[in-house]
Amino acid sequence: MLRSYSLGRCYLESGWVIHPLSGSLLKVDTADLVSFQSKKIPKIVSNALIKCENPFLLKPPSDSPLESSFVHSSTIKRNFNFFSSIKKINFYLSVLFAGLFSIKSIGPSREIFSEINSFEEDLKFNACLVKCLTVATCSSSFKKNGVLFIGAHLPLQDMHAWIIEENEQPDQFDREWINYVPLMAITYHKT
Amino acid sequence: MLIKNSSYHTKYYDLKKKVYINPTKERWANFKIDSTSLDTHITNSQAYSQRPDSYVNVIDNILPIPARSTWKRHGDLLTEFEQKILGTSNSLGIEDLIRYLNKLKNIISGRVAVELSGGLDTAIIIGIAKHLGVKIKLIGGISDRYEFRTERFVQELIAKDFDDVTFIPESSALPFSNLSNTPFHAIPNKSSLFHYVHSVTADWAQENEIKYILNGMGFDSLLIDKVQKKSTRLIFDKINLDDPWPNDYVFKQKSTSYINIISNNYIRKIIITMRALEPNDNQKKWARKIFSEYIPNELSKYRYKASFAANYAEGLSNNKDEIMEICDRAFNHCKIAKIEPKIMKKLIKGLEEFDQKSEFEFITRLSFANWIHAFLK
Repeated sequence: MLRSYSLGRCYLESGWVIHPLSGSLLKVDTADLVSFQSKKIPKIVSNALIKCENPFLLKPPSDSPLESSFVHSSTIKRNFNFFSSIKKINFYLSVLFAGLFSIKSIGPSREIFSEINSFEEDLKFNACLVKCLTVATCSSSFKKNGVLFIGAHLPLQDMHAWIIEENEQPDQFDREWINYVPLMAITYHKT
Repeated sequence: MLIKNSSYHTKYYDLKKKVYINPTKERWANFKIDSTSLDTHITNSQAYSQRPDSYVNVIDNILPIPARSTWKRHGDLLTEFEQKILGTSNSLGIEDLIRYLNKLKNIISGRVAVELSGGLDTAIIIGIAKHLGVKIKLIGGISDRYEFRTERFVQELIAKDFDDVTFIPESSALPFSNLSNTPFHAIPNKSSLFHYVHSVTADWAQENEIKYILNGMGFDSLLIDKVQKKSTRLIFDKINLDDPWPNDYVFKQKSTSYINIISNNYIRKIIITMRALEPNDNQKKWARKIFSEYIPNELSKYRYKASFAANYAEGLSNNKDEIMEICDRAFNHCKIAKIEPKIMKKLIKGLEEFDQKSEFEFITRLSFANWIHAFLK
């Protein structure tokens, strides 16, 4: 079961949180911020947050491009399309379904991201959360060590999703994630 | 006939009178400026070029002639005299670059500073200068924004190795700051919208008697674009890789030269030759590997790059009133509808909603209004 944790953060004299149902970015009074934050977060999330703050603690990206795992290509694409449709309806439902329909692991996150990155451009457009949810449902490494973050480039209203797994950000093509302040964490791990 | 500019700054040639003219506010205020002038500025901005063979004159008959260049004129047609073709058939390597820079080091007299941005390009220049034992001072804008944490880390890491480092807080020199005091300039250029950070740097340079400030301006194209075997493409052309505006209008006035290191033909040739047949390389993997000896691990092994979008948005938001005043004054002078304040306000709204077309239109039109404002004030 996937669980989400609200990290709500004070930045540029305002409080910022992600609404757990709509997934939209909210600006709140800093005095009220505590009431929006999860009381406890799992250790795996706090460790991943340290990596977000200090990206040089992560493993450097590999130079050699990964071959996509063609064996499971259709499963990955099916999941990706499924989450694309659900996300259009509701953010909360897409996270809920990702938790409920987690399938047997078919490979590490790096390979699944690589497969998704080989999809046509128009499919991938603006689909960072869908990519991450797809990985979260099919990846062995995510289930073991992964945290999916949703964050915002503050004070802009621009949002992004990415994954941190132990010492790695497994999406080779994502250079954007460092611009986003993590505001929500989603993981299989409990406090 | 030949039109030659052997100076180190842009000169302005009157095609009708066939002489160079000295641009002055008074002369400029008398030129006819209409919607065609703005349209030609938009065309030039789309082409990203100030080469006289492709530049469309914004002011009738006045043509910018880039520094250190010579042009042949046949009627209305201009062609570059002895255009350097950068063939990549010779085998040149990093040792040739270092050897050449070592020679150059012995010729340069006067204090040298290098910009320290925390990014790869300036780090390469700083690393090689340090390797060659060149005594340099460092200057750079530093940001406390979340997204700039990796740049900041690298800036502080590099700074540890130098005695003389000056950081300009980003919040004190945002884009679009102090536009009312933009220096007079002969032709519109979007760099005028970012003049303030250059002004702060130039003041520092003057105070510290710095003769040269080296920047990594043209590296983006040189280290990213695909290099063909015989690279004659204009994308690696010196003029296209350079933006003379900051040097011509800000640094020169403070007795400092703002130097784009790759405007040196031989440096450019060596790097292009080294990159021969390399594909497009958006993350500059090739450069990170080749120059790994000269740069911190954080730049050779990682490829983080912060976005300037929030910095840009803050600059726009903080300076909206001044921007509107500039547009108002320019509009009252030339009555060009496209720079009317209410139209510009609409473009700002588009910009705030991340519309890229609005961004280009806004920057181009505002740089035009700012140009008019600079000679009216």
